Amino acid sequence: MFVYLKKLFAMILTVLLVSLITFVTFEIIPGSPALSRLGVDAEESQYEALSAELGLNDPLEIRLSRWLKGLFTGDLGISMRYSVPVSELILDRLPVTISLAVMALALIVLIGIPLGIVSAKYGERLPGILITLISQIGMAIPSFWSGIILIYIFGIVLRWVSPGGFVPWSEDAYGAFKSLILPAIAIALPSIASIIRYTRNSIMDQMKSDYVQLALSKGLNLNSVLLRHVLKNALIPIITVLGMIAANILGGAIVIEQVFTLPGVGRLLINAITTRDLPLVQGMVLYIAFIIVVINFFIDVIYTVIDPRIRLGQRV
Amino acid sequence: MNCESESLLEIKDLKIAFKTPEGIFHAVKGISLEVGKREIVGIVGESGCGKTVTALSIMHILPDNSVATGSIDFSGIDLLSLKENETRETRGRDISMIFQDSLSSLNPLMKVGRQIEENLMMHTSLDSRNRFLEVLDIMHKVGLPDPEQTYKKYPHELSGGMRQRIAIAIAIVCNPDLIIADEPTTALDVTVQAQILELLRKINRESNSSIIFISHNLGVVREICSIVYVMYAGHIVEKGPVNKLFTDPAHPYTMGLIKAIPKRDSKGKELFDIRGRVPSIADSIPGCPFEPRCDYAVERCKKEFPGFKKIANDHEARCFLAGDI
Repeated sequence: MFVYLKKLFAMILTVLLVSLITFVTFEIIPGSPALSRLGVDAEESQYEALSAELGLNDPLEIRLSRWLKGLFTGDLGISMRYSVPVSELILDRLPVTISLAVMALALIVLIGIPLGIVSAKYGERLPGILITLISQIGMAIPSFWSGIILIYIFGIVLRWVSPGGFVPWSEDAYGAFKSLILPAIAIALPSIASIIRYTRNSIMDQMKSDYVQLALSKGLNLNSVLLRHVLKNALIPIITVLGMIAANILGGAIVIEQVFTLPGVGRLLINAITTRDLPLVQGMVLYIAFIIVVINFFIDVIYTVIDPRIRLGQRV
Repeated sequence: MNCESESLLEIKDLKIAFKTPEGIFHAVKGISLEVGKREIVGIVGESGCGKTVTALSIMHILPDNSVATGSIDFSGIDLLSLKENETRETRGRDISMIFQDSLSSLNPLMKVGRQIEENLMMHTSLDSRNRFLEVLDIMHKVGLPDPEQTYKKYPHELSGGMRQRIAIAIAIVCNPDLIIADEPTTALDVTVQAQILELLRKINRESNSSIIFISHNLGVVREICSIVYVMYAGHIVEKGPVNKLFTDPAHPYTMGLIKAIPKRDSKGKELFDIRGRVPSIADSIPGCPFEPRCDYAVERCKKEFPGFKKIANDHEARCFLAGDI
């Protein structure tokens, strides 16, 4: 229990540190949120009034303490452009992003890992080389291009799904699924390819271990050795990569959300940056840091479940 | 011990080669050996001489890039002529293997009890309850304390000696006719070593399993084996009953190995070692492979590798000078 508390404390500290860094960064960079909202043609008096209203004229320590207080109460300030609380904006976009992440990860795990196992089983023989080759091509194709191709084939030629846009789950679950499946595939493709390679390499590494020989000497066939002994041992690096992929998608699938015009976190981030919506950018940075910290925590927990030699917070 | 006992395993002219991108390497170059029922046979040699590869070929679990020729006759069946999947029945049930390093040969992520049980799952029709009881029984037999608790442990939670006992339990749980023990005591403390040797002796006595005991340590081999084969660079260079081999070694290599065993009266003196190094697997030597390191070598040794020369009834060596040194 103590290790969990320690871990939790470390997580809070990390997020706090990130928030301080973002706060300081936005202090240093030139330009003011008030100016960016009013534009350069605004009257001096208008600018002064807005600055006062936003609390921009307060001393640094007041603003810092306000920011930190907001952090703990979930108040990340108000977006300049949308004039709604930043936290509300992010929460609004989360269903799309989380759905995308879950669907893409499911595809990656269900397709990538089995293909990786098969590819490792055949090693340097034809099926293994073939899978490696195809996965290499998969890694080389950028997802915006495969996204466009998918839209063209399934959205325009076959008309199975409507290209782009998002239907909320609560309105029409099947419609929501249909609007997310193509972008999920587009996101998953390159990651499937890299998971195949990681799985293959990790398994082939493990195949050299002595415990494989012992398992074979018991009379197990290669398939049972792979599934019962090797796979679990090979899982640690695969889980690590899956965590990175999950963090990437949850942090906003910027390109794919753009291609499929999905109202996800990625597009919000793009809008925030292009309109210099500083509170929103600040909130987004914090959100991404939070996602990464949380995913890392889960990965650490999964490690300890897989490998009894690993204790939380330390690796043997 | 009875050396004329019925034969269980007979290897004839076994050759093992590995195909690698750098070329074909011959790890074992035509060896013949015989293991009688209930016998403990030693194979001795430095690392890289082909001991382990020989063991793996008997188990039929050589890596894919290897080719083994010759014959391995096990109770009337030529194992080498069978396909990998046809030997699966035999493997683990009739022949089993104990590996050198039990920390790496046990699956680190599987409870040790399950690893013993797996062998029963493969080769018996016992239900899980009976398998569990059988595992507890065998754990007790190999001297593991508190089997029910130990069953649930992972390999890293046990000591080296206990792990090796688990490895032995895996090997004997199906009551095999032949156990191949590949350096089973090398990674252990001397006191634990003695316990494990005693355990293997007990298994040999009580369950009538034959044992092939592979080691680089002649002292250990002397403790446990009745017949010893000395291997050098993929060849067997001498074979004979353990006592004759020690009191009257015929091959200069065996002599060197015996001299290299530290003795009590050698305290303070420099330890003996055989000069030179083991020829690399890639070297091809027309004559005797030991010639470059041999103190007794004559001109003829460079060109010819002699066959076995009989010194006594069951004692032979591949040396021109055997029996004369």
